[in-house]
Amino acid sequence: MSGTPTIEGAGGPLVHAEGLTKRFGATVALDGLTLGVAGGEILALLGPSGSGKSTLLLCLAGILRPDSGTVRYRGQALSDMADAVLTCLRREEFGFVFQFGQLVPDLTAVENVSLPLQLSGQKRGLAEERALALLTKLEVEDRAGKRVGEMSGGQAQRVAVARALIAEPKVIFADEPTGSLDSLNGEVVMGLLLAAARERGTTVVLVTHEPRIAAYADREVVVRDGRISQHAVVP
Amino acid sequence: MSLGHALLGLLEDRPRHGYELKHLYDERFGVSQSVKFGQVYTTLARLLRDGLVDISAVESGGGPDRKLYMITPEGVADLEHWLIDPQPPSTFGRSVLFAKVVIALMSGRPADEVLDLQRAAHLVRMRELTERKLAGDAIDALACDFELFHLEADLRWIELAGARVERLRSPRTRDVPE
Amino acid sequence: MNLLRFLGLGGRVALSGGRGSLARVALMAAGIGLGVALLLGSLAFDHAIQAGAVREAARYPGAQLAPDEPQPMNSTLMWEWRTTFEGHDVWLIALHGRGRAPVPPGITGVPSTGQVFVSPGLATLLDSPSGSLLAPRLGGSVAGPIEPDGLVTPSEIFGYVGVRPGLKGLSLVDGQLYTGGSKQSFSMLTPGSLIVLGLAILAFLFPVALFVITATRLSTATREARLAAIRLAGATNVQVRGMIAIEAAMVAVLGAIIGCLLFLLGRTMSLKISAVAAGWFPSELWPQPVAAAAVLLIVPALVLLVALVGSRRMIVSPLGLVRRTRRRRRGAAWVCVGLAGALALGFAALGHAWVMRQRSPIPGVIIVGAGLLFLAGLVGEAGWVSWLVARVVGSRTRSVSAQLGARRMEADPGSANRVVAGIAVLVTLVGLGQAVALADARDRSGMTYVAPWVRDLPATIVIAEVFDYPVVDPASLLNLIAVPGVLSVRLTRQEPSGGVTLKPSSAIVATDGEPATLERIRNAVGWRGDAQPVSFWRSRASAGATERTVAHVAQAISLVILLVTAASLLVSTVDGMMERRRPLAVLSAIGARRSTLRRSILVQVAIPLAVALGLGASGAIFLTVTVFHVIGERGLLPLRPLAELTVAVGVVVLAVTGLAMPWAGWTRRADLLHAE
Repeated sequence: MSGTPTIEGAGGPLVHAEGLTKRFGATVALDGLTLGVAGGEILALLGPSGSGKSTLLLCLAGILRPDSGTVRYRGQALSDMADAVLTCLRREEFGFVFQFGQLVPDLTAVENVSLPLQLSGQKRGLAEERALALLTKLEVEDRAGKRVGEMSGGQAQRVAVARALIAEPKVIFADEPTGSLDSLNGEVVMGLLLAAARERGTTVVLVTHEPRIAAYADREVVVRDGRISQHAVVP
Repeated sequence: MSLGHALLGLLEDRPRHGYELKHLYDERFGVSQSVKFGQVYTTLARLLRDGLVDISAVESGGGPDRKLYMITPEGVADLEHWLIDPQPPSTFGRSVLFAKVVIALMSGRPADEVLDLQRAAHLVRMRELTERKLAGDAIDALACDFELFHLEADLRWIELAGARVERLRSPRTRDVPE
Repeated sequence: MNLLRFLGLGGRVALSGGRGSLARVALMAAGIGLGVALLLGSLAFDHAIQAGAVREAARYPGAQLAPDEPQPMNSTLMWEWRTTFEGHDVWLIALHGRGRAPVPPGITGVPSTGQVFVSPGLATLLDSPSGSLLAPRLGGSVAGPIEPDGLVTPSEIFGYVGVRPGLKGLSLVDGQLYTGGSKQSFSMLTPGSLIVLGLAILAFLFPVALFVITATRLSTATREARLAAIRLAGATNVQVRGMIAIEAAMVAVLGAIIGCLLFLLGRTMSLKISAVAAGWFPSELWPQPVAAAAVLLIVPALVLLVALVGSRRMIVSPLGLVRRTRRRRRGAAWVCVGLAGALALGFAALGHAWVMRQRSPIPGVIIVGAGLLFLAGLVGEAGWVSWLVARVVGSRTRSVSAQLGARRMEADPGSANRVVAGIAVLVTLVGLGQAVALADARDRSGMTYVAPWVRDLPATIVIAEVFDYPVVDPASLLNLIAVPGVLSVRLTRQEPSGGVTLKPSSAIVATDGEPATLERIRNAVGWRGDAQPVSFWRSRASAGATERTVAHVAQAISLVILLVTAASLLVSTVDGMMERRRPLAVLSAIGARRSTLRRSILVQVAIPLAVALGLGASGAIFLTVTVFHVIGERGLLPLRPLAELTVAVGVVVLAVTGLAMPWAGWTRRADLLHAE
């Protein structure tokens, strides 16, 4: 277990956001937010709905561009990167788990999981072999040839976790990964995701509104009204 | 030390008689169990002794009912200290947490602050429990889950209570049509 | 009042589902409107054709004179003269009246000898620079116009000529008595051409129906959820069906209105086209009121009926929609049907020689039946084959985009199936039709019957054949060399070689190729009233102008069908993407390139169309080979039209993909990633 956070690059955090502001019309989602995520750290973003935590996650992952402020990954500002470079970064360095509806319904589980590898140019046969191995590890190998419609929510979410893990990303962004699961399935999915992350030293940014899920993290940060709540410095 | 702080909290906005305090306490905190008059007067006597409350007026007729109690600056400081200090997370002693949060919210202190402070304290405990759960066997996990779910329920309740109070305070959201 | 409120509720339910259901209603109404407009349009043309036929019948003679019978008093005798001038058919009717003679329509009295009444079309032709070459054939001078009530079409080239029997060899025996015209109009449409016309209208309506069906499938998920919510709110199943019916009725009425507007627009626009304006009187280019009313009643009723029958098969429960039908793949069965037809045709073709020796030809019913069986199999199996291809591609391909596109097609083949079936049949029929047209054109150009050396002559050569016409002395044809523009004249005799014959007393006249020279030759050979002694065979280069026109019309029709089908494909592709926008958004979040998504749409569109094209082309070639073999003619493979269709389908693939792109970009919106 290599759970001890390591600081990469020039001594700074792996992902660093500074003064992030994002507006959707009249709604202020992020209001000058600053946050650092260390390499290998498992960080939970807590907060009520509408607090801006999902927006923060999307900004950190380079999917949304903030109105002002910068997000740096390994010291490099995401805003300086071209869209193609950013796409490549997300493909090779990041993994994603969302609450639901992320698997392509027309593809089988094993095809869905192998997608990131195939998108990076790996041979299909090889990619599917590795996908099957990972599905076995996550105990859903019996669903490998099935489509989303033929899976339970817990199984689909495990497949999604496998897809996030397969390309061995440096950072996994998880937005309410247990949001539509029952307690036991939620625990199982979190356990699998974090065990794999700790085993590989993967950084995880986890958005959740459930304290019980946040307790899996090394550190919790509360987002409120687009800012990090100052009262909630969890030791 | 719950009843004393609760009474201090109830006295914070204005001086009250002993019987009034008893009814107010029952109304706000006595969901499961009402407090006895004797308990109220014993506690008030102790607070008086410690200088946390004072008697502002005595009405004619005599007897304990005729005394009007008020909070002293020392009392306010003591209350403040107690409120800011998060309740140690525990499955037991939940009524103290309840009293503390209600007083904090009723007295107009920001709900977010109360919630965040309490959550921070709870999360430390929850993280410990989660770690123990992941390391231990199934029986350990059951015990840890028991506590984890109760702690989470605490936090959820605080969150809801805070949101309710916010809504009462904000006139715009109060009259949401059904 | 309750009913009214219920109607209002149904209408609101139909329209309140946001952009998706609005698009659904709009596209369905547009499709129905297109169908209604097509039907109204064909009815209008039918009406105009019939009105023309009635006026044409009014010119027909009533009785023949017995030999040696003199022309009775108060009668009109008529002779029919037809000639060709610069490719136009010129129809002249020579008249001789006696006493109070009946007058044919369009003129006030029977013209006296030497008087010619001309239609506007003939007048224009006479006024043209080469008109002086036509004038000698009229047998008189222009005395006035023919009124529109005597014309079949506004631009008809027609004239009445006043004559005196005995002049120019007109005999009483050749003349016929005019008794006020025939009351019974002879439609220009033979039963055979009626069938072809019916098939053409069907071929038009088929893709339109396909489009409507595709529109009904739009945003089904949202719609079903909405209906389930209505059930949950306490509506009975019957009430929900009622709402579906109201929605259908609304769409139908809207479609009928759109159809009327489209018809009016199309009518106005087509009257601006000179060919239409010349061929039809605008006042007659309306459907008959009864027929129009029938269309405007039957089409909405049909839509309503289809909706009701469809809704009978589904049960809307508060938890969602359940269809009673099970989806079964009958592709293999259809392959058997198609193979049976193919085998029958194949045996017929192979056994043709033997059957001909037995002198009892194979009944046409069997051939047509086998052909229909083959087509039915083609329609039935097309969707299945494209599903199979998608499946194989989806599981074998190494490209992510091909995988995405093929799997998508495999998972939801419904709309693609209909498109594939439609295009496959279209390609087959167009291919076969063009093959028939090509063979027809080849026959009519007469090239197979002409000696090989004639074929090699340059394009400026006019071949004149003089039939066994006693008046023309073959030797006098040599005098044609004096006509300006004629380069050489050669008389021909029968040639025994290879069954290729030119009739005796024919002349090969080499000219400068000018149309006027042709007319001069006609005039020189001699205009003899009702006789047309000179027919002209054109050599290769000038052959087949009309056939090419026919081919162009066929191309235009298949293009329209292809466009409507492409619209269906576009609608279903975009709808599928909208229903999958969240997974697609996630896909681009995890690092799929824009181009990956684009190429997947391309694959998804290309597979069904490529399969349809392949099936259709092989079907067309197979049918051409067998059918021509059975009827004992050498067929020309319709390779050129098939190649053109291939290009057209390729363009459609690219266009649909290109038009679906903006929506692909839309799925990149990050707000789709927010947990709801």
